[in-house]
Amino acid sequence: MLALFCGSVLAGFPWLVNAYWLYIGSLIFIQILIAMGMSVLMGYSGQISLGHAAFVAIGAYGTLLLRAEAGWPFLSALLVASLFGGLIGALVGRLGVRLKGPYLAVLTMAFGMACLTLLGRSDGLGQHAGLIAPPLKSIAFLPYSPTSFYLFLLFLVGLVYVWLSTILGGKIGRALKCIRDQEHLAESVGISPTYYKVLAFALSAFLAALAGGCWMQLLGLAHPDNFTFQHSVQFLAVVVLGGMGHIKGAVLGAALFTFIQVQLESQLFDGPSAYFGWIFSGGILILILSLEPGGLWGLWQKWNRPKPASRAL
Amino acid sequence: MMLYLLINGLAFGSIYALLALAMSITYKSTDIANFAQGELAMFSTYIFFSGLLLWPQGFWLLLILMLAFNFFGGFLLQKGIPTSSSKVSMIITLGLQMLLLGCAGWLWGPEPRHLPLPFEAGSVWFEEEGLALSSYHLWNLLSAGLLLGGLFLLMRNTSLGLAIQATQQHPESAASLGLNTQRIKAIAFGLSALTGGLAGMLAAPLTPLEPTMMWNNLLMGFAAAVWGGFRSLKGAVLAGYCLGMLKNLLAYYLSPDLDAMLAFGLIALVLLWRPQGIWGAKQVRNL
Repeated sequence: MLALFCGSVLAGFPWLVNAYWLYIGSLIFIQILIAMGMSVLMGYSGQISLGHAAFVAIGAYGTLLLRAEAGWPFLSALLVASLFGGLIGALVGRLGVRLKGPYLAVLTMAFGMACLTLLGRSDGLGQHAGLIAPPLKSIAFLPYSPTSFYLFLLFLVGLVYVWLSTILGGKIGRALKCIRDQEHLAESVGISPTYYKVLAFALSAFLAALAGGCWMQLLGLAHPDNFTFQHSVQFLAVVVLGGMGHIKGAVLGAALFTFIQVQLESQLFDGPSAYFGWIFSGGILILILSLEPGGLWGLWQKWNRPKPASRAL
Repeated sequence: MMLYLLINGLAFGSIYALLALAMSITYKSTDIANFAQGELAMFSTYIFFSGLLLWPQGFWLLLILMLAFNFFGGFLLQKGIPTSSSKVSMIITLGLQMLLLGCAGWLWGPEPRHLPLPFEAGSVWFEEEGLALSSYHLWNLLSAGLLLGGLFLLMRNTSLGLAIQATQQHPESAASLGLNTQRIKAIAFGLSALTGGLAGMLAAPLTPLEPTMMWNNLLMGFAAAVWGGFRSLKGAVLAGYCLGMLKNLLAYYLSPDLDAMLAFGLIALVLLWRPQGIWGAKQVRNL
């Protein structure tokens, strides 16, 4: 009932606000897609990635190239590029499946930076200038406008949310939590850590690439500066802010984080503004983890009932 | 030509070696992989730069002050990072990295600065095809060598060094022998910040002084640390120098911006083939 109410309010949003807030809303949906994937990866399977910007880049460039070079429609280009991102994610996840401690973080960080170098070097990918996306004429049977794109993103986020809730509430979610908390125990009762860890990595990479394709279309271009190491750390900060135990936390964190970040970067200060976003993300990571590692979702749970919040790390 | 490439590679290598050593010291003593190592160095180099603007003659005194400042900064940092779980601590260092990066950009701006050295970067040895070994190379190799040599003497021959080693190998037994392991861990963090800080200083003339100057260096430092085994100090230093030379050969014969690719390839290979690193001992863990 509450979900239905929220959904209809959000669907009515385009008729209540101006184009700027519509853009912010779309940006928030894109961030939510990434955050839900990161939440599955970190909160449920206990892995870490400092290279998710690379998967976002795969989605962005993949969608753009399929549309511009092969002339595919947006939706099929987006889906194929995201699946490709998921495949690369499975490969990276397989590479890192046995790694403990900081090694997975270092490996994924190097992966992200290597991909960024590749973007800056390839002629076909526009080098350091990036690529301009061909304009979109229609989206899922609707003529393209910022409003229809916003509604499309709302639908996509709702779909992914329901899908993730279903699979995480079932066998996959339980297996992932078991592996996160007691890997050897999981192995001894026949749950393959390798399979589920790679699955979680591929899933989060798929969602990141999906978000990347949408982000590229929202901005109208794909540029290497949008996929740096700092972006990967910001995705981490979003999930930490929201709380890692549940995908609701990811949704909450992404909405709040993007809202504040956009305010910091555009309105409060003039001058080189990305720095305030960085200071904000750094401050979030340090403060939340030192004071309330459960994030907003953990705080909400603690507040509602005195049961300890689910273990995030 | 080959000789020039190798020596220039050693100059890069000493930056990587210092960073990798700094990371290995913290990781070995506290189980924290410090992702802020590069940005700590960048930030202290900026402070050094501002000091030099105010007092251009005081290079050497300011250098000593900066190293001491780094040491105490690292000492205090270890006290500040919660150590409940090494994963949480690692993510906090990532936050610190973002924070320092943003603050440096805010305070000093994005434009590249030039860190003045008290000597001219003139050619000292030979010149060939426009490539020269400058006094800068000499300064880089000498100061890194001095610091590394000093650290190894400290670790092997002083009671402090032995206490650090004991704490790294078995904190509980070290504590039961009456060592204040918390303070020793903080001292190790301080030493690591000092080592990393010198790396930032040495990097600043090679790459211009700018907020993002340590991105590639940090990655290369991590690659060297992983190559060396992350727990082997000697391995980290050797791997750092090797990586510097490798990078320079690759830059000359293939293309100059392949650092990240080299680092990723190396890290993936080492982790697949020999996860304990080239010089590291295998870690055995009981369930």
